[in-house]
Amino acid sequence: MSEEVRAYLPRITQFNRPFWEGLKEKVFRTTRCQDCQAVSFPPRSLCPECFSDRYEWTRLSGEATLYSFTKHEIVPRAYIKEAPYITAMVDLSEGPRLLCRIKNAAYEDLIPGMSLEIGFGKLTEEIATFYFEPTPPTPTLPLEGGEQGRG
Amino acid sequence: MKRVAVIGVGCLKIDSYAERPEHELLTETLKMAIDDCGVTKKDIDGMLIIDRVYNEQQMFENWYPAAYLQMETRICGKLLCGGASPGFALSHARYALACGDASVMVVASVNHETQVSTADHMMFAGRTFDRDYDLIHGVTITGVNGAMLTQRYLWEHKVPHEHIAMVAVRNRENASLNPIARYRQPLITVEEVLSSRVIAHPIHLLECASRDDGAAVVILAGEDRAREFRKPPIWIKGYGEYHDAASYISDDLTRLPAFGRAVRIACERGGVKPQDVQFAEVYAPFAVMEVIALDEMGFAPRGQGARLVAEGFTHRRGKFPLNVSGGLTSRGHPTYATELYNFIGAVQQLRGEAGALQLPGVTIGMATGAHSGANGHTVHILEREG
Repeated sequence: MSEEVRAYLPRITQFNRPFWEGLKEKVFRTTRCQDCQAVSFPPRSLCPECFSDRYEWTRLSGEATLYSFTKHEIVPRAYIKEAPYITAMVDLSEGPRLLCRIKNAAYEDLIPGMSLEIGFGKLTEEIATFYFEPTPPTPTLPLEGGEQGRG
Repeated sequence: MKRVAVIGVGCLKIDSYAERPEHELLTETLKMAIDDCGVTKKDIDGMLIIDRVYNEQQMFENWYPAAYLQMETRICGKLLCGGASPGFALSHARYALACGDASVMVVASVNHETQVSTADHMMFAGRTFDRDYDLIHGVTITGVNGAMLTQRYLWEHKVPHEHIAMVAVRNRENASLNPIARYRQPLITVEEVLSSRVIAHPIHLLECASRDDGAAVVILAGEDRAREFRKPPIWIKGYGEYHDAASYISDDLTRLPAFGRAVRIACERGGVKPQDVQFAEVYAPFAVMEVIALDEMGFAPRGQGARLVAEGFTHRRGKFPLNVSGGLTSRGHPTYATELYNFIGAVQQLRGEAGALQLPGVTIGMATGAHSGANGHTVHILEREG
């Protein structure tokens, strides 16, 4: 009947390309002000703290804390096939609070304050995205060799 | 600067008007407001129309009615400030009247959205979020402003969900007595609110405002002319407007900081204290927002607003009658006209024209609007001449 309604895709520009290219390489980055050091998300070419335009790209840890969340039952047309799904507001360990999808977790298991870590996926073949998921429990004993680095 | 008063009001029953073109709805409502006060065509020298941002079939909706009704004006335009558009337009009309650029002004809004399905409307409305960084996750207004806010509020303040559901119960009870409300029956219980369909966990259908059509018109005049018409003038005593540095919601989901700021500004400008306000018609598209509004007005320590609701503080026979006309969850929510309905509800109370919902002896009331539901607010304090 009607043509398929597609989800909106991000508009990739010369300025924000490092963010979207980073996601493809599983690197989560944003801008930091070179004058006041404030880290902002989404990436900005003008510092929202001091209005300096001297910014640099910085890599984020991908660690976050859950602030609030919901499981969507009634969704926009383009997301009907994905529903129900969970979205959340999370606090990055570097400070900014942002909206994201939560994956690999049941709604019932989520609680504000829990630790999350970033994961990477695809919006299309060309455009990558990110989500957050609960941080796996830390082993009670340190692992031999200490190679525990995550992404 | 001249004082400015409300001289005439008119509004359609909130409903679905999918089959009727906007200018017909506007014309019918304008006629109601004109008949309410008895202004003549030549009295009106300004008109501000709320910009409808979606489903606009007839462009230039400000000049089109001017042409359709053959009205020459000194001031005529469309204004947009989301769900706070009516307050924003009333404020700009007041500026023009106060400084004498116009003498009688019409502020009108037609909300016309029910011809579009909810799933399609959500595609459009979602674009109020950051188009590039938020929308890609499938976030929705109900999900963030309703559900995430309720989720955090319940968790942070250890409030029983039943207390928030009471807001919806009370709104329905009030709406059952309001002839222009869309959702008057059946009356509902807390259990029915919390067992209604989940829209976005943890909130339910009956905690959310619906999607409705409506049309409302307010006519204002400067004090030099305000007493010439049919009804006693209701004065705009104070106005406050405040916008958080947020495109959608404030960073603290348990608060509506801009609401608190706008209320305080309006009270300061009107020379009253928030406690002097005897009742309010507040823009709260989700039940939890009425609770947070009470927190922000300072009636109780933060997080206690829900308890106040449960105790009957906001009942129409309580200490602070809130959303006596039925609120957005039961009177209905024609988004871009809702604040005018709030405003008209307050005017009718102050005139003693609120019928079965009339509050005895009220002289000072408040009506509010909000854009994006939370991050910016417009607040009018209205007063009946003593």
